[in-house]
Amino acid sequence: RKPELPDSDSDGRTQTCQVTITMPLAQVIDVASPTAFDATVSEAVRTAQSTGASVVVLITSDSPNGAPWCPDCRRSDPVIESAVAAHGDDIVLVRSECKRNEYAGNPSFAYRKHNQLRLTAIPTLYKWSSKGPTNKLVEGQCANKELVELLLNEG
Amino acid sequence: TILARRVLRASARPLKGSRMLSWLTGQGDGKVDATMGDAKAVVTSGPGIGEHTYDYDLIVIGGGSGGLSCAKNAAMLGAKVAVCDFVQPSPAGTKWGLGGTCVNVGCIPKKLMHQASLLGEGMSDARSYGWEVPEVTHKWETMVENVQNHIKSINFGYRSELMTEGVKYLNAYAVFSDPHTIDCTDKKGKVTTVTAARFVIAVGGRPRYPEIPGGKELTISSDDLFSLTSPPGTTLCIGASYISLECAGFIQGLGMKAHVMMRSIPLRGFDQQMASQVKNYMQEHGVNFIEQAVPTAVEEAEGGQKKVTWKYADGTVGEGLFDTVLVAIGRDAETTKIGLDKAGVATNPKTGKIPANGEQTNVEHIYAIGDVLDGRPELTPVAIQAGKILAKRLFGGSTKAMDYEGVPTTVFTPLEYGCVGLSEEDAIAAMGEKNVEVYHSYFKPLEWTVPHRGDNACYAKLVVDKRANERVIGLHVCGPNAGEITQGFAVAMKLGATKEVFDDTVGIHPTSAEEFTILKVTKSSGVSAEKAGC
Repeated sequence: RKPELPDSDSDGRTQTCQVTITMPLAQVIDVASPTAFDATVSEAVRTAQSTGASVVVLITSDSPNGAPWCPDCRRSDPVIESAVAAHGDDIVLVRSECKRNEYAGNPSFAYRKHNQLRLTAIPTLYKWSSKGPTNKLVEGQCANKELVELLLNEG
Repeated sequence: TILARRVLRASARPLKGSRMLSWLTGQGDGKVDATMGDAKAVVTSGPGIGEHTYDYDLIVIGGGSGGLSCAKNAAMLGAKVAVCDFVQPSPAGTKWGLGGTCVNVGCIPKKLMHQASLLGEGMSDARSYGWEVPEVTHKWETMVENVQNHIKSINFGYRSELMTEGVKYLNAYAVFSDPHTIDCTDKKGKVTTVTAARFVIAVGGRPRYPEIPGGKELTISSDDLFSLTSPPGTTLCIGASYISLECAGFIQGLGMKAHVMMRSIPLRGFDQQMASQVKNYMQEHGVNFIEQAVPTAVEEAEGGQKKVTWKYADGTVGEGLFDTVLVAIGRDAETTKIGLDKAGVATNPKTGKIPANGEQTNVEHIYAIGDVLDGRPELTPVAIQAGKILAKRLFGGSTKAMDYEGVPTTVFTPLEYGCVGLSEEDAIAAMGEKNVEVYHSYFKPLEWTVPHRGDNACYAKLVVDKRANERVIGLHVCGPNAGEITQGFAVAMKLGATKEVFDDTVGIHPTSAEEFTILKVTKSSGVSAEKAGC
């Protein structure tokens, strides 16, 4: 909406003011660490249920030097961010970043063993129902805007 | 069974020069002749990719096993492809997602529920192996939820695969308005008109319902069984098909009472000795067979049950009360409402299916694959392979034909039955009894010994052609993991393996499959085929 400008005052000087318009963004919840995952997701599911939103879970890499260390994550993070943002209040995104020294080459990494996540690669984007993951996109699929839309809408 | 029908026709003409004989004698270099009779490869004529003014190079009608395989492979070769898939709800209102019969209401949920029932049996056997298993019960709802979740992930997988391959997906019911045009109606009734240079009809079939009072309104079919929200309970399965027997089998195995009503023989088209073996095992495990009977009416009864009345072949009548009545009396091709008359495509008036020559219908640019094809095995892998090979002929310059011979299959009844090639009776009918030998054996899987299970349930036989060095032309096995056993042998038989080759192959011990490498007793000797010893 155009901001309403105040009327010029009697001596002819006009006043201007800056207005910041904030768009409603999808709610993004960050998972502090793999041990906090279950509690964070349960809370997100509860929040979503009360507003009728859907939950998606993204397991991606962290960015110790300003950019994700995982190339697929680097390509897909912005695609997912913008797709999720466009859905506004309808999507709650739970985001968990993996540290390279915890994830790389570690077959016992917590998310690999997690009986719902069963992580095989990063990035993985899961559609998450109240009972757990329904469908997912893995690696290169996460950078495909159309596939991400498909998952958000019909996953 | 399709092979069997050709054999019976062939016996009416001189065998010399017939297609059947060429398959029976085979070719020494192990290659399969891909240009046999009407399986001859049809090399397509018509416009190349994009060399036309239609919307698409190819439209596939039907997103099942055959349709998706053809569409995906065509797109991979550079064609512009669309798939139309739409599930008309069953009479009971059931619908499902992309993937066709196999994925949603066929092979996949069937095998999973069969597995559920085998696991129950396994838990019972486990006690003999030392597991202290308490009395266990089965929760139908949990199984259905997990099976349906798996199916939904396959539906999604297909959606994303089509998207990745650049295939346009139309969730709409396609009807021809002229040979190159279809009108597609979505679930909201919106109609989209699209055109294509070529079409593949892969619409499959749907269950047939008996034309008796209550036959549609008070019954369910395989369309509904796998997503039932509560257990079927005491169930009457009407039909002698593998669908009827497999469903009755796992329903019984999950702890409910199953009945099977048959008009005549079980598993028509399959080797009848093996069919008896399957049926007897089911009877011994509690399934009640109502034989030589046809249903005459299904009515509502108290407490939500259904009262079924039937008539026996001798004229007497019977009746019973069931929680669920499942009809599995056959499947009809989905060809009546898709405007085939507007496209000029001919169907077989008796079956409703589409006759084709190398999958090409009577209309040059319209093809058919899968269950809708007249005279071909109604099996998912057949449709998948035909779809792939057709796509390569249409857009990849290939001349390879689909080989419909020697297709192995397995019936997943409680005692599984795997087979490839001719039944014993079809071999005898085609070649004469004196030219056929049968090697056979009853066997007991080692795993069944400790829990003291079934002494003469499992059975294996090889049907061989005595004129062709005892070439193996039929392989049949009743036993656990029958499908896994049969698959590898189908490869050997494609190469023309003889009994001697089977004997020269060392068996893997201890397995059930090794029986086929040590068969000694012939039917003609009259010696008992029952096992003794190690």
